[in-house]
Amino acid sequence: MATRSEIEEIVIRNVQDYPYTETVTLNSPLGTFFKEGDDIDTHQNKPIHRVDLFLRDLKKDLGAEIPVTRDDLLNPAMFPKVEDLVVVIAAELED
Amino acid sequence: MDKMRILRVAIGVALLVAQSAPTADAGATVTLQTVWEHDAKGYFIMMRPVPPKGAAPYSRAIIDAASPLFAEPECLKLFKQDRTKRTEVKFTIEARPREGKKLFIKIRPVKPETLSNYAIDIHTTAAGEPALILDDGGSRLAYADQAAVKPLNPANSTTTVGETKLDTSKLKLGEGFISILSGAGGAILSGKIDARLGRVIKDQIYINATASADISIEGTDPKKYFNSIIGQVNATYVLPNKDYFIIGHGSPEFGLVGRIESDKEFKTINGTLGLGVWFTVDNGITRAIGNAIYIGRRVEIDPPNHAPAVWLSYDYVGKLKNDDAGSTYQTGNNRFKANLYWPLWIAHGWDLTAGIVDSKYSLRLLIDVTPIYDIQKSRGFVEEKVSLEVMPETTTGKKPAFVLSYANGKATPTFTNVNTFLAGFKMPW
Repeated sequence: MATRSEIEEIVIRNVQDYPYTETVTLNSPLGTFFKEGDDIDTHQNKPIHRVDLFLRDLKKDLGAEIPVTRDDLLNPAMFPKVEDLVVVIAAELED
Repeated sequence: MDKMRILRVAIGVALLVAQSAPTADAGATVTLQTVWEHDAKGYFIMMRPVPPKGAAPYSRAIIDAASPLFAEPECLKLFKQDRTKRTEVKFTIEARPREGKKLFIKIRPVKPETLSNYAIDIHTTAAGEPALILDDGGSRLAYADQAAVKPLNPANSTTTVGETKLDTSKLKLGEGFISILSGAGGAILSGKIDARLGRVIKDQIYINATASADISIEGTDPKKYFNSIIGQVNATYVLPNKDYFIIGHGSPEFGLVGRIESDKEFKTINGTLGLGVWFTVDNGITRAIGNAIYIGRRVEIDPPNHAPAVWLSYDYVGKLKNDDAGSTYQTGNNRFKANLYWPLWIAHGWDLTAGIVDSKYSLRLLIDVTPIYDIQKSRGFVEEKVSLEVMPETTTGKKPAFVLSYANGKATPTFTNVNTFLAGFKMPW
């Protein structure tokens, strides 16, 4: 369990670490971001895709399972902005 | 001039095909998506509502805490499905909503012997009321009362130690390409097949295997296309996510890579074993290039360009089969290899047809460079592909992109020289 601001901080930090090539805020667009990154990893036969590492680190930092799957992140319509991802996680984990 | 006319006709055909592509259809009720998940207690089934005309689950909580299912779990029946036989399975429903609404329901079989096919039936209560209350902003939604649970696919779960098995669900055709300007050759259809084996994961050490094939069905000149079949086994260590000198933030991967490369006719087959490192380069220079080229970005909805992705490797090359007729150069046994792959968006949402066709387009530049240095022969090669893609702006459906490519260099394993312009359509399968 975490507060809303803790969840926001963890999500923003992990998106930034992907890396997101500009400063991440709650209003930063996600949309196709993870899908495009995964296409790059697929093209390069990268052993572990960054979207999997992102999910691993996010769960580790939050200390809990989250209602977000790999397929959710790769769906461009699921999380138009960073805040949309925060809202879904907060609905499950927020104190 | 003739080529320009062909290009214009090609773009027109692509636009018409794009406009006529079918759209998704769905039933009138909310469906219930189920997927195997894993937490500290073990495996459970996550059940989530999906909108009537949507492919993705609701991202807002709509399952009402007052749903009778939480008080009367016997309204839900869980069955293990073996072809025609259904066996009822005991389960618990967890995580009753603390307040308000809930995004999903956790269904945990008491003894999940196998993570195979399951089926869920949701019955009405003894009083004849629906067991679930789905409330979206005050609007009560009807739902489908049956759901199927597909077997767990370990390749989709990388945060748990999953069973390792052959996973054919990822076997698919990747990108197809129909060329109308294939150098001196005729029309070419090509594609990529990817297969991924399940992976065993422990902390930051990962073992996995992949196979990919670039296939092509050519016209009159089969030597005008890169072609290869690659099988790869990796044991990888993921470095901590932090700031690194020059390459910026990220989680570089470092590991052993075993690979079998073959041309598509199996005339030249190399087995390689080497050390590789994968990373991205996110610094002031790459950000400046990414921003400068993205002239048509809508900052409210378009994420920025990705950082360029790089891998470097040293390979020991064992020649398993070598047919002189299929190769123009005899390689040594030790080589350094690298790859830079950088897709750069130029614009989104552009009306390129002056209103003739009601559709917006995106433009993208793709840079793909692979230098190879043969240590024993002291010779270097560079395989480079630069493409300009024009594609309908859509997040769903399968619509063609118009692609203009320049390919030059020598590619493993045959090192056949390629130097050609290609123009055509790329169609996701």
